[in-house]
Amino acid sequence: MTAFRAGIDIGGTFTDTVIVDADGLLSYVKVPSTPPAFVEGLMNGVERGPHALEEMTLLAHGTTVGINAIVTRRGAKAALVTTKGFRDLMVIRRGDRESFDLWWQPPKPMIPRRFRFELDERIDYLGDVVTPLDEQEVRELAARIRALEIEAVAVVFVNSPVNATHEQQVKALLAEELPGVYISASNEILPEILESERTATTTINAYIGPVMEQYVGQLEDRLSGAGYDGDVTIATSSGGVATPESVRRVPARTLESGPAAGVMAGRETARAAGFSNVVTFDMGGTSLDLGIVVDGEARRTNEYLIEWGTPVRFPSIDVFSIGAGGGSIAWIDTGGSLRNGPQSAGARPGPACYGAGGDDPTNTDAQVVLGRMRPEAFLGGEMAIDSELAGAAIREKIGEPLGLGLDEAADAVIQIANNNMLQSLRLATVERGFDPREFSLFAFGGAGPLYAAEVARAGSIPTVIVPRYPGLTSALGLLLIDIRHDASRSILRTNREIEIGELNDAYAELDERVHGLLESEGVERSAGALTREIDVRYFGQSEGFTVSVPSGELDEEVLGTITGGFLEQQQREFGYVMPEDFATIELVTARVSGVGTVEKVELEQVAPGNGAGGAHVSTRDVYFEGASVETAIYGREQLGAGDSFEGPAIVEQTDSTTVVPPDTHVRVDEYGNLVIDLTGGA
Amino acid sequence: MSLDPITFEVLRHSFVTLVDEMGMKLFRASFSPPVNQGRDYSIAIFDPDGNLVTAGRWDMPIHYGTFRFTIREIVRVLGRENILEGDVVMFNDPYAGGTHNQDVRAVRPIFRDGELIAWLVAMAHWADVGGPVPGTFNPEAADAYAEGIRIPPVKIYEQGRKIDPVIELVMANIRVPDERRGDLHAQVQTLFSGEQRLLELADKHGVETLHAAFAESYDYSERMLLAETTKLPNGTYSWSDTIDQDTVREGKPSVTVRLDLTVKDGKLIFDFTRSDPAPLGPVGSGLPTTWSGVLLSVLNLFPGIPMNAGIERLVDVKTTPGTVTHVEHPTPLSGMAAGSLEKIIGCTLGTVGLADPSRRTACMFNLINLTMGGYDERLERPYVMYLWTVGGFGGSPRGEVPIPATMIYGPGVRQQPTEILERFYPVLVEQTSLWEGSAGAGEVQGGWGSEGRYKLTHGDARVGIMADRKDFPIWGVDGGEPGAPQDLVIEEGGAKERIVGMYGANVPLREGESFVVYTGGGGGYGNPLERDPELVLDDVVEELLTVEQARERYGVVIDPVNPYLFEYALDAEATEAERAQRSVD
Repeated sequence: MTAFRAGIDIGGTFTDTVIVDADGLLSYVKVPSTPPAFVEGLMNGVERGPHALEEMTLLAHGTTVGINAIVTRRGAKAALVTTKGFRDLMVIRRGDRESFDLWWQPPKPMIPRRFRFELDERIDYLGDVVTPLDEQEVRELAARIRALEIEAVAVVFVNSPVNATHEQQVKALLAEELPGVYISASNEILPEILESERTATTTINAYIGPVMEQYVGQLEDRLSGAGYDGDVTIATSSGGVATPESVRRVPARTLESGPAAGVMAGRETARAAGFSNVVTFDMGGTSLDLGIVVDGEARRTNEYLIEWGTPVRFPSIDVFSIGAGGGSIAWIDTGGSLRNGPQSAGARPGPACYGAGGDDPTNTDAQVVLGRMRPEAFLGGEMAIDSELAGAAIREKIGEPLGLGLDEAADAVIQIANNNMLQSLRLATVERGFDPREFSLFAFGGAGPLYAAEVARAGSIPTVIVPRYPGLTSALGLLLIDIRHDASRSILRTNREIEIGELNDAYAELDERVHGLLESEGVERSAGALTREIDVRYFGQSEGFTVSVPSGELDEEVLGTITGGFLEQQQREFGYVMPEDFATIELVTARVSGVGTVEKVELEQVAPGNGAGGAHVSTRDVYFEGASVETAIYGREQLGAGDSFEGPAIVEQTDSTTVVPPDTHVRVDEYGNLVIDLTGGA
Repeated sequence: MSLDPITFEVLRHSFVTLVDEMGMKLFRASFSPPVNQGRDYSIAIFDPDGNLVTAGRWDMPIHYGTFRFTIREIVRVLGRENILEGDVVMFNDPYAGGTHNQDVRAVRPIFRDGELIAWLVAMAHWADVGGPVPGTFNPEAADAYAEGIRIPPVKIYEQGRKIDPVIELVMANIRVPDERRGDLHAQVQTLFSGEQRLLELADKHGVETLHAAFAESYDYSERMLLAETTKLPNGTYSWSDTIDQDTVREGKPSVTVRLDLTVKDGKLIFDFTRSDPAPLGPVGSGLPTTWSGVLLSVLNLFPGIPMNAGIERLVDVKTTPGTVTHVEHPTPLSGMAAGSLEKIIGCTLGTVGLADPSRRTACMFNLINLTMGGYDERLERPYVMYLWTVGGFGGSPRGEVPIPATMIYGPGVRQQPTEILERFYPVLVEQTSLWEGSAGAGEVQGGWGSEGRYKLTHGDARVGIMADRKDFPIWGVDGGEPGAPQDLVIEEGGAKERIVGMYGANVPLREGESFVVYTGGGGGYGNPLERDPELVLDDVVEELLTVEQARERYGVVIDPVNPYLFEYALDAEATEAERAQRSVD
């Protein structure tokens, strides 16, 4: 029996399933997603595929269950148990607002005030108990929580990263008193200081915990009912996969599941093609997700915002998301300036050209007007496109008010969209000290290849890579990523205070925790698989840099290595270091991550081509840089390894369209990637 | 030269990205907690004539009004012919183009091919610039010399060469100079990286196009603002707002700011000339700060308009030198934000609300500058802790008032986390929560104030407070009630307490005592008896109002069925009767 593996990318609109056999041969299914009952969409996709479930050995998927529960505020009926005096921290946050606007409204808290309970306990910054916990008070509170039929509880006490005893006692007491209630204690979720961020992260975990438990339970029931006995994995924000069991414990780790898997898919595919410095450019209907890969490693962050004022503080792939997609709407503001997004026409009614009642001009409409998307080629002809409707929307809402002709108006829409993307690209590269000229842009998602070359050129990126199946790259990528776990804890000692023993104790504990997590997923212990890092800053700074730390027993010399690594980054990013006699350097947070390698799908190679001429299916006028230009249209299916051609060109395929601007050279590599060299012209 | 709309939009966003990048760099690299925790900094681009092109979106807008003065003052003092490629100018003079002495600007003229094409400014609030009080805020200052070092425009780099003696002259007069050297370094490096980026834009688009985009930016913001202000009826609208006390004058009398706003065909003329004479104590504002109060209020009242010189074409400010909104050297002014500025904001909200009832908004809480200084025996160092608090915004016809936030002139301004404060300073934060019952009653209730309780754990300390709105109300509008007044109280233990109030320098705090800061609730909008009873019920269920307060303030009768399970029932009949009775009274 052949072993088949499936990668399943569950988006807000569509669920893409890619099925691969042992030889790397590939088939795929696209079905609508079924929020909030996402399991249905997943099962539909898998069951409609060409292979029976019993023949499969792995289902790897990215999930939007958690983020969907937050966005729609359909999480659990949850409570917060916190230190006396801190019940309102969740809404006060850091006291900042999103913008100038007297009447601005923040998102609603996930836990109402009445369900935020205080206990009279306190631990100081050194971990000493100031006010002891009263067990009787905890049991009385448990009785009230039970009577209120609360489904999940987040426990967050001030200074628990330094001394977690009270949190652990409360968790144990609540677990005893409240069977069936989902309980998250902050020291297990995020043992790092900064109470506001820790409260937000722990609360989110509790809020989505029961929803995720239900999802995972349903999934397992449905799969076993259908005779499946292979493995199931779920992508996490950290760019790894985890088993359903560990996702149950810390569901908040899956919030960026899809975008993170996209970056990892880009990284793996680009690496196979020989590119190690890559900006991943994943663009769909509503948003663009950018990731950075340096020397083959995806850039990570330790905090991101899930919505305004709600930071999630987990090691995650650093994804820059902006509301720029095919469905983003172009509009004219009260100052008379042309704008683009972040509002999107979504899947319903969608762009005007879908003919589903949308009359706002979108990026997709503009591309249709410019001749870059051929109506009949869209989704292999499965979806009807009305270029008249696209033209009418652009003409009425953009062209006429600005006094521009149809082509000029559509071109303006795309230029504004491209510029918005360019600004994000700059924030992701230049602002982080990365020179875009040393990167390639890896473009995927249904819309990515339409925009990538022009954005890359404006952003000084010399090369664009378009993978063989841009629309399926994220799903395929789920079969290319490893099991990964992270752990961290606060250190908060200066380089003058720290004793090497403290650091060794911290790393020994973190190593043990990560090994334990990996072992629970069936990954065998091997010392080399762990990576250690530490966050470092000048004492007094709010943020700093992350520096790598050697494995094994550390000696005094390592402190010099750590400070040296910090100073090097400080110099690179800020252009100076402080005089040595002033430089008190603080070791902030110790981090350990571990990777359990999974068996990877081999990317399919394509047969050598006979020159691009055979793929040149037609010629038509396409608008580039102020004029319509006669442009060659190529069929992606017909291009083989080694084929090459010059821009301008359009490459058509079922799941995407690639725009190749003038003054470029394209070659097809052995994996079927289009490699667009932008350095030829202007 | 006219610019096509696409190039303009591209450049406009490039300018925004440029200041954002610079701001992020300054935030991350600096050493002053007001900057790297509180985000009290600002970044700006100016055209060669000193007009503001773009300011950062999350920066401290209290500097916005100073921008129109900053560059011109530099040119006036140094002489245009002495502004050279490679220069950096340092400047903080609050009477000529600054706010208070702690706000230190680093300014870089940007040249290309020998031509001055723009200016960049990186401003940071330094935690201390000298004077008798750590942190430099000094409610008892009788003149400007008690408020730290004043720096007129002076070069710290000339043609690329650093002028260390000038920097050291400043450093010799302030506390913890090593940290301030770090701050200044961060500011200068921020300018250098911004310059590089601006020159890239000039290379790509050409200087002429860049300048055309500057000019179009002004037109753009002017058009956006005009689209809103032309809806306001022509006329003159008057409002006044009062500072509790002139801290230095005998008898500590109050000081009133008076504004007559004239709206004429979309232009807004803010006339403060009827305001009281300048106070002797530091609660008045220099003209640049008065401009800031007006501009930042306009930005908040007409959201979404990019800040630049175009806005100033529609806004004018009139003052009389020697009055509270235009104090002159050597009158002190380090308390200008909590004093005069907040009242200027209040008057601006009041007058715009008269002109346009849809924007009518009640008063909000007042900034509280709270400092605590002493010697930290744990870390073996002297310390100055500087706290901001959050409070309630005012009610308006635009819907329920959101959660407490920091003052309106800093959307990006943030509080310091408890777990950082307790490490850095000898305090234990006992409480940081909403102040129940503090919101001003109204058809739209004001926002909630806050209650913060801080215990001094090691050694004795001195507390300084520069704030306001304890005596004069946080007013409501259209029948709305005031929010609860602000206060500072020291708890000595047991039931004993000392009331400090909103002004104090070197107030003694002993080890083991706590201070409690009550930040005011916002004023209410409209008649409380018209508030939706369901909303009153929500606040009772959420434990923000008691059943008694619901009845007293709103005439809403609520039956506490089972408070243990948060079950409360609205008695609609009794409520109707109660409200009918009150309306008759």
